[in-house]
Amino acid sequence: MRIDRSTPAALAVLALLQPSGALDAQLVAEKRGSDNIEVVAHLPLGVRVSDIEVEQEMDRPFVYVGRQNRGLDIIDIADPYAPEVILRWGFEDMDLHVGSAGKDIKIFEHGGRNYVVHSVQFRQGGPDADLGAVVFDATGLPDVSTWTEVGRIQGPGEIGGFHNIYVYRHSNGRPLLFATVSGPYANVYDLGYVVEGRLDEALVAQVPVPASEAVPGSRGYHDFYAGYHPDSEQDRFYGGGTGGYYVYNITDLENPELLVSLTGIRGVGRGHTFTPSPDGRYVVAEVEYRYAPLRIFDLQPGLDGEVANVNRPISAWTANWQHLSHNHEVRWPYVFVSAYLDGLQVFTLSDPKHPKTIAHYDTYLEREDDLGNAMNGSWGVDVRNADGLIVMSDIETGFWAFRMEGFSGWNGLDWGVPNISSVQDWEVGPAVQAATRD
Amino acid sequence: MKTNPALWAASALLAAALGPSGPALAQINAEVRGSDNIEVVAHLPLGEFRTISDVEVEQDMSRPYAYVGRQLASGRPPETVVARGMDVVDISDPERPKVLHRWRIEEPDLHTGGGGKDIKTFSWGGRHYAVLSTQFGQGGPNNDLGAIIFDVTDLPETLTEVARIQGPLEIGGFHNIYVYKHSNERVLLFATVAAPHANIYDLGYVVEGRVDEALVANVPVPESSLTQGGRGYHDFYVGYLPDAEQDRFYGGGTGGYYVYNVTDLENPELIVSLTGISGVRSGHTFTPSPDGRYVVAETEYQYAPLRIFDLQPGLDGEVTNIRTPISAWTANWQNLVHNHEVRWPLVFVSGYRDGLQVFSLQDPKRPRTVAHYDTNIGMEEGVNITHGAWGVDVRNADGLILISDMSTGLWLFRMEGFGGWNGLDHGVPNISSEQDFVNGPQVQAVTRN
Repeated sequence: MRIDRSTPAALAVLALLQPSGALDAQLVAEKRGSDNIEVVAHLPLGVRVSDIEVEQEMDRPFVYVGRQNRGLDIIDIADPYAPEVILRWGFEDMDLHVGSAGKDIKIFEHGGRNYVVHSVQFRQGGPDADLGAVVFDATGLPDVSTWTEVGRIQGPGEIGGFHNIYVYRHSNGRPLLFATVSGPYANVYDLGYVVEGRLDEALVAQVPVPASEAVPGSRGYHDFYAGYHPDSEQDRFYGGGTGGYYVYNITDLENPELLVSLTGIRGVGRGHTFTPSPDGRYVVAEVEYRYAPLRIFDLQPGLDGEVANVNRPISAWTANWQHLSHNHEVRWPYVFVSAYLDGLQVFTLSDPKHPKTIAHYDTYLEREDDLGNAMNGSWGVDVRNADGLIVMSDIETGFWAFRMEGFSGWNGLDWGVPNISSVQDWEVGPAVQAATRD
Repeated sequence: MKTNPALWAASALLAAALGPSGPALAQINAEVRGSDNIEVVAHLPLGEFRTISDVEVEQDMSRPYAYVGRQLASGRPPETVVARGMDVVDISDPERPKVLHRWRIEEPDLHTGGGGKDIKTFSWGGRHYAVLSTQFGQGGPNNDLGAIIFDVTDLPETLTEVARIQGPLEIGGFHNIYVYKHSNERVLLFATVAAPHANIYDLGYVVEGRVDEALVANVPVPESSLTQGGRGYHDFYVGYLPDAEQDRFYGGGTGGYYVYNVTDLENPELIVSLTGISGVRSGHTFTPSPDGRYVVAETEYQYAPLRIFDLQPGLDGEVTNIRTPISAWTANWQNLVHNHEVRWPLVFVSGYRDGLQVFSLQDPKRPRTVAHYDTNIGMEEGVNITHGAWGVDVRNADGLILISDMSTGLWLFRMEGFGGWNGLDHGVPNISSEQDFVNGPQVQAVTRN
């Protein structure tokens, strides 16, 4: 066949205008994520997966995943591309228990040892309805024979269990556990006391949920975050619950001081996850119902004393307005979201008034019959600051590990903000951590 | 220069595919205000920005009049003296609408608050009337004025005020009103008031000078354990349900939404409530499908979609309360929409910043946008999100669509393939917000024309 000079150009035109059958098939194939997300690993775990926590030290490559039907799974990620379940810990007499055997998981260090806190919510009609959390010594991992239960936070004050927990290294030097309870406050436990066997003394404080005129009836928190605020040298508590969201100064644990409330927000009767920027100015606020976006608030007018209450978001973000997002982790300016049916989502608050989605991966693949249940799919998310590894727990599809192009770790100082996130420096405490690059 | 025609053609095609030329790029960047299936019949600016409220069109083609409320909207300095009242527009030539009358409240500089809010029309005793609801603030006259009734029979020449619904029970005015020809043959005005109920006035009594007797019934807002403080309705719809031979009231207010059987006006019967809906503490506009099965439910805050509910489990007595929508629709999740008119399966929406929007509930679980036009383009960023298209109405006889935009005025549209509406053509009763004041709803429901 004779080929003249026009042939290559004509072929190029054909390629652009007339996709072949094979190309058609590629176009139709499901695209699960953005090009800047690498799936490092996927490990199916079975049904009813809940929250996830990754250890922050690179020499402790362990991930903990809650299992509502049993307890928790421990995953070794020494080779992130080949994760391996090394222990499936479960409750004794699980067939007698009613409710959730695993909700939230957090880790902490004390006295040179490493611990895991596992929160549960068992119901009446079976054992342990008054159990809030089980604390394990995880120091000897990956040798699972050393995995040891060291304490249970259990009693009349914990009836109904702990739906969410948060661990925080307070500026007073103590490792604290904040827990949601069936009361108009969050309980604060000293985890040092817990692991030292002084459980009766461990409940050291409570942070109240202010009474709400707009939302009568019983009050409580749903989720929270605690972080150090270097400018004011304060330990601050950020809680979502009845009526909205509340920010307290908890430097003096016995006298929590309400700094600013966020109530009377249209469409928000009850707050959920609530996380500030490292400098404490902006907050990401979730409310857990279908069609609700994450709302972004600027707390400055409240922190400056111009107003006592903030009720208007400056912006909002959603992956899909017909769904809702669940938990999130802030690594400013990025927000990593476990977005139920929408899987992993990452958006940026570089301009807090105009959030932008920058990465995503669908861990779930929505089904037609999900029309009535938007709360399936991705439950929890965590980020390892040392190398930027992103881990996710999906209720049905299990454990996922990701890397995002251009995100190989996080330290706030690299972004012009204090080095404050959910990651705690158990040795030196938050005041030093906030100003430390490594 | 010698050229190869085949190479030139291929290169031109390639260039067209890869990169538009300068003029083409400019075209691409030009603002597209609406979908291709929307024709702008007319646009009539009415005056100062943020002074326009609701719109109502007469349904009789021989009475080609539209009514537009005039108010002081939020966002304007309170000391602003604006023309509060109502504009009457002649649309006998829809492509050239003209303002016939600009009725204004007396002593405009003394009045405070919004002013003209909602407008409805009705017929009684062979004459035609318009009801203008008002909300004037304290600190000025007429804080206790709910509505003004005009005889508009002699338009285009004259309109005459015939009555005011005013008194201690109307303090705070009427934010929304609805006119309904009841199966008992009376023409009723349902009005929001500052109380835990909707007031029902007999408009026949009103125009006959018996205003003192006109308040004939109330529809309560049920007590809610979910909310404290004062209760009230924000908006409502009333429609006849042929299958049950009932007049039904659909109200949005404190706690959510409520459906009452109001056949016996003195004993309204709660049929089903919609409360405890996540994200809904106070309902707004609430409109059923003509067969009463599905409802479109608005709640007025940024980021809120319209929620679609299936009432069947409640109507069947399986449940007394419904709280989970079967679907939702929004033009833009970052905004919110305002009023709507159902012409099943289409829903015509005045979408504030998103202008006119039309979606279909052909599959109620999967609403789809079918047309739109931005009446509010170019409005500055930062103004209140509740700005733009306030009201919408549809003339059933010919499918003319009207939008009142708070700042840009009155808009008239036609939508491709929508030349009018009668429910029977869609397999449902001929029931919408349009009333047959002569024959009543039982006949209307089964009458093609």
